[in-house]
Amino acid sequence: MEHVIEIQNLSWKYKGSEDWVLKDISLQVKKGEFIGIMGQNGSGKSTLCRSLNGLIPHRFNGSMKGKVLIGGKLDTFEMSIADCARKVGMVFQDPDAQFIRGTVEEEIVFGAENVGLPIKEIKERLEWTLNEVNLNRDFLNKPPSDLSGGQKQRVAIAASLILKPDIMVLDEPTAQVDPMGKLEVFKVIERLRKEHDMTVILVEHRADEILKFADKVVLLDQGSIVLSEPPCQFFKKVDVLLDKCVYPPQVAQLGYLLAQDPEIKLPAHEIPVTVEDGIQCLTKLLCT
Amino acid sequence: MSQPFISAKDVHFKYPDGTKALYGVDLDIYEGEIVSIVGQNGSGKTTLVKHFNGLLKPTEGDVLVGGTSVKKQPLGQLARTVGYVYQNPSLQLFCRSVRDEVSFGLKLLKVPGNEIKSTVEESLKTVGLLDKIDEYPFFLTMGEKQRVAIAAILALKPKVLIVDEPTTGQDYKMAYQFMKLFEKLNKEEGKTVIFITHEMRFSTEFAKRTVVMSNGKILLDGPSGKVFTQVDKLKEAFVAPPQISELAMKLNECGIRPDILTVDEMYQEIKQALLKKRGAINGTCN
Repeated sequence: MEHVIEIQNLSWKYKGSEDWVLKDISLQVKKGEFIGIMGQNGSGKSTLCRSLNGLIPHRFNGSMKGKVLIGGKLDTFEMSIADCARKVGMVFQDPDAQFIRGTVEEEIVFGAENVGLPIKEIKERLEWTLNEVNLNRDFLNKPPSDLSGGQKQRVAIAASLILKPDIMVLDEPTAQVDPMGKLEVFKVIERLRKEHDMTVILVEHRADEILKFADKVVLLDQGSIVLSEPPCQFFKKVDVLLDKCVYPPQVAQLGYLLAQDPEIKLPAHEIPVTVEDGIQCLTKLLCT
Repeated sequence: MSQPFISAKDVHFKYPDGTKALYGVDLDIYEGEIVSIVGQNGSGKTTLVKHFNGLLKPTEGDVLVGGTSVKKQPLGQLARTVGYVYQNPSLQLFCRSVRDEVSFGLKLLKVPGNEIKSTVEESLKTVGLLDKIDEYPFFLTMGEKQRVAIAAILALKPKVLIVDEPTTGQDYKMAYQFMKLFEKLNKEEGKTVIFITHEMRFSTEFAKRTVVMSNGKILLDGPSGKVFTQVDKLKEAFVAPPQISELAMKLNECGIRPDILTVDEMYQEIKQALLKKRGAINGTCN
């Protein structure tokens, strides 16, 4: 199967900095996959995101080694940033930092206007994106600042989506959003995957959503990939996660303590990561 | 019990644009408590705590701090009693150096210069940022900015510290460090701490008491262990209990207490249950 993203031995250093922020990263992503990226502040998560939509190397100064291939053949180094934006949509942590226009409508169509799509097509795509992100037309004339956190991020997603990218990269999209808003945003992402086989790369500090939605989780530490596994395997490794400052699910933390205890010795592969796993595992341990 | 230090009495609040945010809130906070306030955005958490240091005045009802109505206390005095750390430190920081930032409140209150110097250094030491005293706040990391904001409030030596979503957007280590810092300030300096959070694991681990807000009212208020077992009420407030509470409630049939709050507590409970069970099987009657 073709890889929609292929990162080959990528290293990156910002201009003026001594250290390589990314060190020899290799990662392959299949179409429709959902990859979660975790790691402590400063581990290189945002830099990796920027290298996927061409912001690196086109908008940041620095040194690059290795390659990022999109859609199996296009090299971000050779593509224009506009072409990158058509292929790879990007949503940032702080939507307010991304919004530059006066109304939600202007904000959403901005990218489409920029690449010069005909007005009729922009109008059609606007209707389509509103529907995709589950936003009411009533929002169109409002200033983005009047919206809730979840609504703002859905506008930010719509603004990327209007270019019909194959890949969405979301850098901590719900860090500033309350649990309800979080749910709204993840519902939209799930729908994009189901209906359009969208490939999703998502940076997140908290385990809950990654556990629920991701096919694979990548742990970055000091610019290198330390773990790359399906979430049910990934979150069992509580010692590694704690060492690298990633929140393990509480159930996994409990399982880890039970595995470490010489009198209980829960086998490491049986460490539960979800509440459902936990109920099953502990019922077996306690009630039988 | 002694007199509450902060007492909200049937507080109603309407913003100037007509949005009503609080609908009759009664809440007593006692000296030395750590209280967590949870609830979805728009439930009135921030609006409520802004009444405690006079940033907002009730439209109806009253808030007493130290026994006196906030309506009768000058803001400067209230700021020294109840410190409020904003959710977004960028909103609070505006000076050219960390030192100026932390000195600002003290200068406003006309504290003598030599006292300012020592207080500022002491506050920065508490949050572990003394080495950044001459840096420009804008270039600090999010976590550092947040700590400068906390130091600026600590410098005023308030009895009560209110922190609005201190862990939002932080990684696990940083979030945990913040919570440990508040715990330390509570234990060692006797500060009353009120924190607003969306992370229920911090609510259960660090606050003995949790207040759940929904639609401008208090829906639940009590020991965190009791609050997080009220599944239906929590659902009404769109608050999900932390994984461990959920697990404990569902393992009730296996003899696990439903009001367990932390991973460690759960681990001990399971260990005891297991040893008891094994003891029963092995028939250790002697």
